[in-house]
Amino acid sequence: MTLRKNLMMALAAGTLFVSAAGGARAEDAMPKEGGILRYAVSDDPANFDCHSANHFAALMRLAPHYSTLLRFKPGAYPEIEGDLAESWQADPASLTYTFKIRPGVKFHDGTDLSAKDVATTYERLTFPPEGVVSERLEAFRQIEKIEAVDDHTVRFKLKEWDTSVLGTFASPWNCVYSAALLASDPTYPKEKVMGSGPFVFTDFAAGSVWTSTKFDGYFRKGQPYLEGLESYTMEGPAVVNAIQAGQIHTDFRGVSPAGAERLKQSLGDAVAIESGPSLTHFLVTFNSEKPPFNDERVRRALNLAIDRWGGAKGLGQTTEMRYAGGIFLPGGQFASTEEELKKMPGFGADIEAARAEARQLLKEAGQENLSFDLTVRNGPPIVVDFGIFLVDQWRQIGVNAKNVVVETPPWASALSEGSFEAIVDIYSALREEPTEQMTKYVSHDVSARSAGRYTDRELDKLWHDQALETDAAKRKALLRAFETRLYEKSYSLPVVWLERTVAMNAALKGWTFNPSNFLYLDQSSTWLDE
Amino acid sequence: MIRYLRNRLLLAIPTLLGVATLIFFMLNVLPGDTVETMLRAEGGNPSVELVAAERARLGLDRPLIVQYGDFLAGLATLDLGQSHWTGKPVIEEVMLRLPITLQVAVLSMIVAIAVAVPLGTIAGLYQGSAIDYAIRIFAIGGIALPSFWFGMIIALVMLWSFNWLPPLGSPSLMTDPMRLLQQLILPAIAVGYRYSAILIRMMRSSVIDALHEDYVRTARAKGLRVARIVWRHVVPNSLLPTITMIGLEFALLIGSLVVIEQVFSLNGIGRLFIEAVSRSDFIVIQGIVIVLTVIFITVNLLVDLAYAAIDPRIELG
Repeated sequence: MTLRKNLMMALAAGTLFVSAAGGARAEDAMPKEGGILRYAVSDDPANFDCHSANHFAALMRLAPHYSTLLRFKPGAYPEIEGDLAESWQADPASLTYTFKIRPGVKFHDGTDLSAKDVATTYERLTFPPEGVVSERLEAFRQIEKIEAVDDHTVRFKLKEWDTSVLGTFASPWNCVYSAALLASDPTYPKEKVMGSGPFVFTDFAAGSVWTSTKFDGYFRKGQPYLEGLESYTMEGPAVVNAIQAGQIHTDFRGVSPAGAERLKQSLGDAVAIESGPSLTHFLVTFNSEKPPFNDERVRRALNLAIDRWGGAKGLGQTTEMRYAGGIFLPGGQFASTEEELKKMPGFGADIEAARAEARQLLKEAGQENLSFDLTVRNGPPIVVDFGIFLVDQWRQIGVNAKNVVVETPPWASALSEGSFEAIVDIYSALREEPTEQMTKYVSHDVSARSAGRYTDRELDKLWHDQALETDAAKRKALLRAFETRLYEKSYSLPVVWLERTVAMNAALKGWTFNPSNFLYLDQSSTWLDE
Repeated sequence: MIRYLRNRLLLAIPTLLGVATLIFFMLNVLPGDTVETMLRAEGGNPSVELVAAERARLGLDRPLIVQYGDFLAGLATLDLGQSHWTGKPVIEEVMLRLPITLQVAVLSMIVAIAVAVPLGTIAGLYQGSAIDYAIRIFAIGGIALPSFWFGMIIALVMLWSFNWLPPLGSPSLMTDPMRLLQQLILPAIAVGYRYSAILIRMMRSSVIDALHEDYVRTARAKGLRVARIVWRHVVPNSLLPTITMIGLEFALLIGSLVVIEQVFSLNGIGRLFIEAVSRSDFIVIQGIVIVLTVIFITVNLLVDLAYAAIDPRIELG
């Protein structure tokens, strides 16, 4: 059975399980109005500016207050629909995207939202003024010019065609701000929450609770259904306890498999559990500037030693590390099939043969007694578990790797300064989009997200070419070529993908389960059957 | 008395200066900073220029000695600086969370004293009896069990038995004291148990010592009732070393709340400390350490003053 079939069966089983556990989880029922949705969020935002943030916890708080140009359609992931945009036109010939903005959209302060607000917002994202931090610079690197043609039309001119840009317009990070307020203070979003989303910001007690109420002037008539939102800063075992006690409805980030099992046992039909592959994967990166990792044979030997299929099977029994896969979401539209993967270095079905080859490569490289430090971030406990797994895999070929667990700041510093030999990394993508996801694996001088300190123009070219390719089959071929070269060179290696398990009070309806931690957080279509 | 207070307060200045210097340089030898953590830790890909600009904006690119000078100058004017993470004044961040930490600490202390003084006295009075052994086992249990583990267990027991957990949010002492009490009682019991265990052992040994003192023998010879001997002579004299321990443990207890606040999702100073460490927000860490040092000094001073109040033989000065 192929990986894709396995995953589809897992998803189907998950859905069946939801039906069984959730009982009357009737998503087609008429949404009810009212109620306060209470949920856990693991952290506070550093400030209130969506454009400078990159942590999903910030988005969980900010997304309900803002609209975006496009959005992921509720109930139909990964379909995209207009949010502020009523319609749009893509013209590859003139390298333009033109959006028609809905009339009658209001900001929470009662002012009208126009194309000028959209254009000013995207100017800020793409060409941030001094003192403004935009985390989306790379995502919009292809935008050359942004223009408000009239009150209801905004046009983007690209430097060259890019298949990924349309989806980027649907990113929930691109909160549309008021041009009038930005004109008086370009940094106002850091301090003030004021958008045109379904909920109006009420209060924030740092470290405790963020509250908001329904925006009566929201442009989607009849929405939002909820009277308000309360998100509590909490994480760890306290979250599962709070769901069990009925204090919160859910944590949209998800719970551990053990937590989900406990909730299922204790609450029965009163809890609905949805699970499936997540857009988060764990990878290991070698510092290609440092000997012996500047030797391709050493990197490749370390790649070959990792039993991804066996690892996912074993680790998946007790942790979220459940799927072996390459650089794209296993079973997803851009992923290699299991057959394709098994032909690539490091993914072979015969691990003993792979390890024999690995030992031979180390011998040829004169590194039979290789020992090095593996820098591991002391983040969620499974990251440390993943480090231990790698060390054990390498021990099978006689390599002595030392697990060096450090706090987040020194880990981030090691990543950016290249002060590591091998480092464990986590990558959570917002959506299934190769152009964005591959930035983790292109040359270091092309994307700062890539940490391996290597330069490989062949990889960079494949990345660039697939972004321009409009033919799906040809694009897929480019992606396979990219993957094959990456695993051969073994600069940076995807190892295991996580499962996302969201446990919700059965009364919570209308929220769309999806592989990303970043989507469907505006709660516009969420309702409570209470 | 006033001279004593003045001297103690003056002594606090070099103590604070030493702590400030130590914490500043210890933190600044660590790799990583807030900018790296904020822009990169969650998968961001900031340019080198952006990282440099943010470092410059926060003043992290200045020589360490200049930053140290700024820190001391701020300290002299009670300005602990601004959080590199949120941009808010550190004093504001700390004062937002300090009340909940102090409330848990005080409630734990009340729980501990309410348990320890009677149990320690009884154990001392009935030394070697079954009740003494029972109380000692109870005390050893309190010392052996980590507070955070005990806290998790009592939370689970309350959840599974009564489907009840402390309420979420930030109830205020002024507007909703009952809800606040509900929120704090379990963490106070979790921390107070360990605290009481130490005090029980101290109280017990003090009572045993006092029972062998001449003044107790004299009181017995005078024919005073046992209850009067205990409450008039034994307990007050046994309280002196116990008060020392209460003071020392109170200051240490605030530090131990770091974990318990995580377990019960309390928005206290311990949680702020953990967040600041994980974000390399050194200026907040420095601020918290300074505030805790001030609390430690104050509590020790109060303990010394309490000696004089309890024992008329002690004169301060």
